[in-house]
Amino acid sequence: MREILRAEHLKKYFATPFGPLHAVDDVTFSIKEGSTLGVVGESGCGKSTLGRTILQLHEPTDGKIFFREQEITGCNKSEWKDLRDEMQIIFQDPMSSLDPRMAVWDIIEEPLKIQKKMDKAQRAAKVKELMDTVGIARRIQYSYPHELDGGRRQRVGIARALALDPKFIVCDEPVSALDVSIQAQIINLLMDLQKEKGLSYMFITHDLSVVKYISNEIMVMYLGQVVEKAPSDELFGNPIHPYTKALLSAIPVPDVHIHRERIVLKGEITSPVNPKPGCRLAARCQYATERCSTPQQIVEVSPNHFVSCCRVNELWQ
Amino acid sequence: MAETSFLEVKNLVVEYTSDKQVIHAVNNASFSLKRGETLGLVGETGAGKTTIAKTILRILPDKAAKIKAGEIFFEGEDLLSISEEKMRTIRGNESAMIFQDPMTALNPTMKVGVQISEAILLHNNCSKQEGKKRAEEMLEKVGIPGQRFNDYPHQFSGGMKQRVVIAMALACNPVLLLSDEPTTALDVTIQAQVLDMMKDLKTEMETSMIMITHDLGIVAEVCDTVAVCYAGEIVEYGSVVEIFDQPMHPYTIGLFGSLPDMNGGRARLTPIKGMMPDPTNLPKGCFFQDRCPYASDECRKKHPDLNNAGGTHTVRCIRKGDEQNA
Amino acid sequence: MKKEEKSEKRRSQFSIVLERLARNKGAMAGLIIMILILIVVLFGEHMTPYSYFHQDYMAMFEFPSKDHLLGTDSLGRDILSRLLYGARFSLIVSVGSVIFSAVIGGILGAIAGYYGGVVDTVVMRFLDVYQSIPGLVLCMALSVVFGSGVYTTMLALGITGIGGYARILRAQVLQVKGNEYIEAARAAKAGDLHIILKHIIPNAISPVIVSMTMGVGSGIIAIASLGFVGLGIPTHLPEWGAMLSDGRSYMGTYPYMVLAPGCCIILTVLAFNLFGDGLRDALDPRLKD
Repeated sequence: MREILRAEHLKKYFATPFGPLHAVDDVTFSIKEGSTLGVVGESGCGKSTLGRTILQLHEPTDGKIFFREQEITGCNKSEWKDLRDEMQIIFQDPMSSLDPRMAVWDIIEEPLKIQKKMDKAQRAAKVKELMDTVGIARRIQYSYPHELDGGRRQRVGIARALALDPKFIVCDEPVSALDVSIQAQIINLLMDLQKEKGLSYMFITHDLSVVKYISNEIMVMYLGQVVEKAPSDELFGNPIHPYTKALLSAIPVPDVHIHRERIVLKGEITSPVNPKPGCRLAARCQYATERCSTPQQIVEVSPNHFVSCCRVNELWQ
Repeated sequence: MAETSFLEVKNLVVEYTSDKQVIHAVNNASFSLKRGETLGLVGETGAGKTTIAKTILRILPDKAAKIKAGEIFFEGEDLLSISEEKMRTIRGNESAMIFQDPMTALNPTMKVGVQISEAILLHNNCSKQEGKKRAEEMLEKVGIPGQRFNDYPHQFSGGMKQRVVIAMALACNPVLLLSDEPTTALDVTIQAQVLDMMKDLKTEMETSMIMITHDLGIVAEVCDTVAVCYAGEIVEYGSVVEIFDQPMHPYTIGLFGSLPDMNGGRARLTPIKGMMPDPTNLPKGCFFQDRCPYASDECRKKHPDLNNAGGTHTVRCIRKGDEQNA
Repeated sequence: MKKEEKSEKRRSQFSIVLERLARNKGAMAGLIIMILILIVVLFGEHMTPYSYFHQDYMAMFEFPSKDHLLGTDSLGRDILSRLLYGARFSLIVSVGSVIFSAVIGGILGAIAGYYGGVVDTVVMRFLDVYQSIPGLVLCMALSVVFGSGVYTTMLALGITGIGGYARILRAQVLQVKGNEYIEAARAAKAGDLHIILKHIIPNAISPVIVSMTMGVGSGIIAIASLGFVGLGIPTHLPEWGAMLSDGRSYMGTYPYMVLAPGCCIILTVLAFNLFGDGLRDALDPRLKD
């Protein structure tokens, strides 16, 4: 399979009065055409910033992004204008991501209008097609977002993202704000669309059960850095990094007969402002030693399974 | 554990009125809670879970909400008929509620310690020093060093704030704790810490708890009994084991089907089709009829009763009743 | 559901707002009064029984009678005629000044809010300095430079209002800017101008519109107080505020001179405020139908 997106040593720092905030710190990954990369982590780990930096909604501080083997960082915006049509985003909160003063129809039509490639009739045909694709009934086409429920709103958000026929979509917590039964409808829709249109996703979420279900590969982030990256089943079956292990053991399982030993991380997430070199989990990690305060290398422990932990060989017996 | 139930909700009906429309928020809900037990109220947004909890504490908005019928017995007294004054002592001393968003439950301009000790002083006859000492103890109990008594809410992270809120709720040793999605706003690892802590405190202080949540994983972990809410009524009720091992109501089955299986592969999810009915315009017959794969003509005509399905397990579905009889 | 059936038809934001406005009794009452006032502004001079400057020294301080429906003033001028003719000055000046300050202030506020950073600092500090000059002093300075007159008054009042509108719009823009639909538009390659015109302004403008309708009311009062200190519109013109201050000295013995323009001012302010209130509710898309 061809690669659709690659990021190399991507960094995004934000200036704060207390020093640079390392929101995304040296992240490298690639996504194959038609596959899904899950990005997991807790609030403040930089996963949303990563998604927005990929789409260049934030200017990256350093690093390179390649889309279809073409570098899109550092070049003139107009040069990759067309490529940008192929990269879209679906947001978490469909209430705040839809303009409250625009009707469903206008929201879906807007990207087409901006693109200026179609005339009115073509646009109308396209909007109708999009509404059918995501399952929005015609009778709500002139409704306003506040008149819809969460599930329908998210369908509108998806239709808008699909309007320019993108090949790659960043899904930023697209189901986190929805009820369980609606959540499943949207996940199924996203997976059907992937199959039909050969889409590639970067699926950002804090919900591990969802990410396992939808992703081919999963990347775990902690305070702006990748701590572990592996194919989905491998990551869940054989987690290595202490953070991944703790994260997996923390999920409440809807089964009354399973009683797992939980790995509890001490304390809370530390500040990403001006972090010390070395492993950022060290302060909370039960395996931490002196070596953890030196910069960590990411190593491939088995095919496609990468871990960033200096004690990986001792712990992975 | 005393066998008599010390909280009993019977046939509760609550309605909201807005713009001349009547919203049927809670329709004929009944359940009971024993001492030291935890009941999980499960359901989706708008199922009436929070309204039930607020009705128990009588903190519904006065104008819009109306308790149409029902009784709530708390230690033998009907909470819906006692005076407001008496209710206030119950609210402070014997029961407490934890809300989803810890940010709004704390006053940003007051030291957290002072907020906790204020709750203690309000409901106990003790000196200021004693109040402060007990507040520090409570902070320690929820895993926050007592020295942080003088810190302000913004100096705490989300998880810590929720701990402070819990400390505040538990400060007066309530016998009944209502928690409304207490961990939804928290990260998983922090959620795990808070849930562990709540479980420990519950056994230590013998508190009974009503846990409102939409997360079946949390229910499996902390609850003893479960009530599944749908469109303002309880559609399935029983012990955790009964419900998780043998869910019977099509809605409950649908909820389980909507969850990605952590141990299984990428089989397609089986969501519940459609949406919850409009609470201003509930259908005749079963409220779940439009989304139910088994709905028959009878479901559209008659509203089902709660049928016994063995043990403490009850289901509001005509099919299950038939199966049990057959 | 009823809600959805309605949405099968295309309803523009404008028609939704009108529909909601029409259901608001207060706003409608305000609108009717506003229309009446508008008619007076446009055709007032043809409706007057006398000319506004016609002085009749035989009939000074007359009580309302068949000849003079609202009586006459200290120079024997017909009060009704003056009121009808004067409406245009009060209204044109206050509406004009409000539009002036809202447009200039709005542009400044939108730019400051949208671009933020240095631009924001520069614009806002400038407004700080400029707003620290008392409005009355500014008006006096302007009338010294341009001489007093209708347009000077309009300009003076307009300039003093800029800061307020800039701040309102800036705060709104900052809030709207944080919404994800702005990012969504940017992901669809929308330019700054498109985002500002299509998303930011429509969502940020309603407090400005409301404060404009209210501003018209306070503008009329401001003109009156300017006239009071001898600035503003030349006194021979029958501006309502000037009429009010003329009548002040005779209030005890002859209240009609104060009562008539006073009622007109109150009625106009009330009409604009009622309408503004209704408009605010109608403009909020999240409020229930």
